[in-house]
Amino acid sequence: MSIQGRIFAISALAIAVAGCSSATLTEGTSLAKAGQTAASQMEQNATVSANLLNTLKEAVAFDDGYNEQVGNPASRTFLVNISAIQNRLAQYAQMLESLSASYSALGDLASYDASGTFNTSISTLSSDANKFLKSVGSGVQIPQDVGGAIKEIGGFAIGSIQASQVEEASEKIETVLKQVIPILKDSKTRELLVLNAQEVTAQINQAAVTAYATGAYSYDSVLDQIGAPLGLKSNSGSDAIVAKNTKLKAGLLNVEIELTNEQATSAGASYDKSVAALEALIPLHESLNNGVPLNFGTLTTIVGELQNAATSLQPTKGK
Amino acid sequence: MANGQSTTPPSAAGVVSSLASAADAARQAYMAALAANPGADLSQLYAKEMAAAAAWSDAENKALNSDPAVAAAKANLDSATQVIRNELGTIKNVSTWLNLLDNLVNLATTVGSFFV
Repeated sequence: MSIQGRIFAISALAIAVAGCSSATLTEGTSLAKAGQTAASQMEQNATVSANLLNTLKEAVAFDDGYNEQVGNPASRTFLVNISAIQNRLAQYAQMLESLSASYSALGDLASYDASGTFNTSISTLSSDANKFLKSVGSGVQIPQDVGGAIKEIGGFAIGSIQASQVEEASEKIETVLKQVIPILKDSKTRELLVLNAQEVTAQINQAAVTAYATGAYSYDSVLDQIGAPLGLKSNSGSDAIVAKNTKLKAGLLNVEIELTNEQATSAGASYDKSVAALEALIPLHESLNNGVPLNFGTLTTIVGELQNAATSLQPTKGK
Repeated sequence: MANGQSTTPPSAAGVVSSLASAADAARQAYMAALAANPGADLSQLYAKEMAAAAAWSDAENKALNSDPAVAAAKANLDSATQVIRNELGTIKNVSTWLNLLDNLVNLATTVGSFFV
């Protein structure tokens, strides 16, 4: 082959490699954004649950006092046990925060030489994932090399070096996900985190429902909710009417009890959606590493559902 | 299998789930009594409810001891839980609820004793 021919072949190869590198970097940026969004939303849902646990103590204190059971040993046992579970929830939230940070660093890596930032992030994620796995009694550990620095790879174009680093970084995050997901799906872990969230939510709401039953709160918000489909609204005389009408009061109380049960169910759904979101990230990592275009449809849907779950888990604002 | 019950011992998660379900049923019974008897003294009912919640949360933090008797204890607890769930819309009387919850808590305590 002539010198010109060789130069042409090398140039063509360089252009092809640059094209592939460019696609990897673009897809890497998109994956990083999607992963960060998903992990942040999951963390928010886990944090909502952790905050609910703090409110629980006040709710149980109210229920104990209202029912003349101050110092009830069963209540004390319940709260001590729940505090232990709260620590595990905190580890779960911490791991999700580190996952979000690792995706953010992956995005940086796709834009410039941010290997230092990524190495710190993946090391923290690996450590936090191990702490979480230990907190739920799992013997699984993240392989040590995952937390190590990404390799410095030589290449004839900066873009291809960056692309290789993005692929390696993506593989590291994928490895963590693949280790953690089976544990999150394990029935014992699920029981621990989901049933806990459901029971805690229901217990918290019981205090509000008990106070509501006494007529301490205005009935307006529930009346307005029921009347909304027909555009009906409560007025300044509504509370007095309800207070005198036992049947009306019982009906509204039952609505509150139903809302309590719905919120408790949402707590479980939130966890399941979080695990589904993590699972939806795996094929995206695989596509990136195989040079296949990424399809974010499933993940986007799940993240939207997680946002709804987080909203329903927030304490409702009454009057 | 002659008595129609599975001989497979229940998993720890399954037993914890039964205790959680019992705790939830106890709470719903309290709420049902509250709805039917606003202003009534439900303190004893509440004490039972919290005892069921304590039995469940205790089990969450312990390991299930491998004992063949746990299967029957779990079945009895599940049965009592179901009775309460079936009666949520019908029973109004506080003392009737108290009897049912008393039985439920005894069974939950028995199941809880298999966790060490």
